[in-house]
Amino acid sequence: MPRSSERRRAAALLLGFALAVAGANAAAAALSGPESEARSFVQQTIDTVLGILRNGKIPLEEKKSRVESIAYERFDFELMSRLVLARNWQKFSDKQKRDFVDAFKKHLSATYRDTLNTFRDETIQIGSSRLEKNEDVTVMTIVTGSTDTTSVDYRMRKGDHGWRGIDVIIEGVSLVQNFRSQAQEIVSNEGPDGLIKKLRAKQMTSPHKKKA
Amino acid sequence: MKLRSAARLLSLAALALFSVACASSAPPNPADPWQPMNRPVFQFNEGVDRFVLRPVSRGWTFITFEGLRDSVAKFFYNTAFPSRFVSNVGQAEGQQAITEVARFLINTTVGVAGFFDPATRWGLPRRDEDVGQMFGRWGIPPGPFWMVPLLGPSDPRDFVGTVFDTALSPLTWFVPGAGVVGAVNSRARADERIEAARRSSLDFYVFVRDAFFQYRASAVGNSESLSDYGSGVYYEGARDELYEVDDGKGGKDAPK
Repeated sequence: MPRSSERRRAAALLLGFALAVAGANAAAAALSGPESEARSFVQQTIDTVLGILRNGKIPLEEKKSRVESIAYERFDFELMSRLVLARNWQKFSDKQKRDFVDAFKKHLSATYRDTLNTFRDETIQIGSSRLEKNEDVTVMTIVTGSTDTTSVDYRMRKGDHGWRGIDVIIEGVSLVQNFRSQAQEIVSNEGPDGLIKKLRAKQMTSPHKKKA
Repeated sequence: MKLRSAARLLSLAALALFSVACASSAPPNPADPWQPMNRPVFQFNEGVDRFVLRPVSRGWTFITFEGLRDSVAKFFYNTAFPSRFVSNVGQAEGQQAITEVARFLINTTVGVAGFFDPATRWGLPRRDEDVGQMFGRWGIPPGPFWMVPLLGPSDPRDFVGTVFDTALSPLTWFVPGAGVVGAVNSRARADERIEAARRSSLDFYVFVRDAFFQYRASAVGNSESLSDYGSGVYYEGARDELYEVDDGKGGKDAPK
């Protein structure tokens, strides 16, 4: 029965291949549960976003809105707002807190939309990751452009709705830390309302006028 | 002669700014003790950027193409080799020092005076290093934030580092005016990022200050000790604390 033995060999080959793949996956999973979860979440997000950006059929504004809605789903803006305000959070009334979260969310996504203007077919690779003391996971990525590489790390936290980004660290500069410094300075000089006002004013003055 | 006129311009600018600084009365900030002096200098630098550097760099962008600007940047990066070499040796990074020598030899010859970077493709990636980082590795603290007229964000340690970097560059001694081309070229390449930062920041001065300190801390290579930067008040402790939600019970919440 030559045919059946051939088939068996083929089956064995397939099985061997499947095992090898499983082995590779297991090696990746050996990173620890949360780490590999966060990594695949980031990987999936990057794939989705790049898929949109590289799709020549979608007009730029449409791309931006799609990417924006992904950002809305995948970052925890309320937590980021609290981390940005730090001790100042307690100085805010409930209404001010809501206003700040809302304005901050709009501001960040407008900023994010803005950066898409400069996208030029960069590639993004996930590098190492780190399980933090408080069980957050930092996933490091390398963005490679025509000449330069930029390190972009995502700090991820698992909450009720699964994994969410809580910070973006570009070349060692944390966005949360950077906004915290700015917020600290503004709140101590102008109070919570001053900060909210500044955030809202920024949205008024940052239309997408620059395209050059 | 060049240096002297630059020095005269600097001292003139410093004088003008000093008088402005005295007039303003910002509240003292422990994280940024020199802020009353830094802010006016920052305004001055912003003005220089808006009316001189940015227009010139946009003109440069107009008459060149991206590949050329990338190559010019690579050329300047290549000429900064001595400073990277010295810094690596000073940090006992023997392997990296050798890599730098190899990169320099390859890129200066095969890479046509450094305009191209074949070394990276051949498995010798670039790694930024400068004298300020070496000082940092030695444990020298940066000191207060310092906005230097025309040069931009710095601190006493990194300013001294920059003086050494400049002195170690052959261009400084053999090609007068090269620095201006380098500055215009890097300003042109960073244009989109700078404008994005201006639009997204609530207080561009604080944005620059914070980004500078964070970047330098991570460049020195011990981002664990972010709290060492500035006065320590600035960063409110180590980076882990950045991600703790403050629940109002006197600072730190959940015990570790």
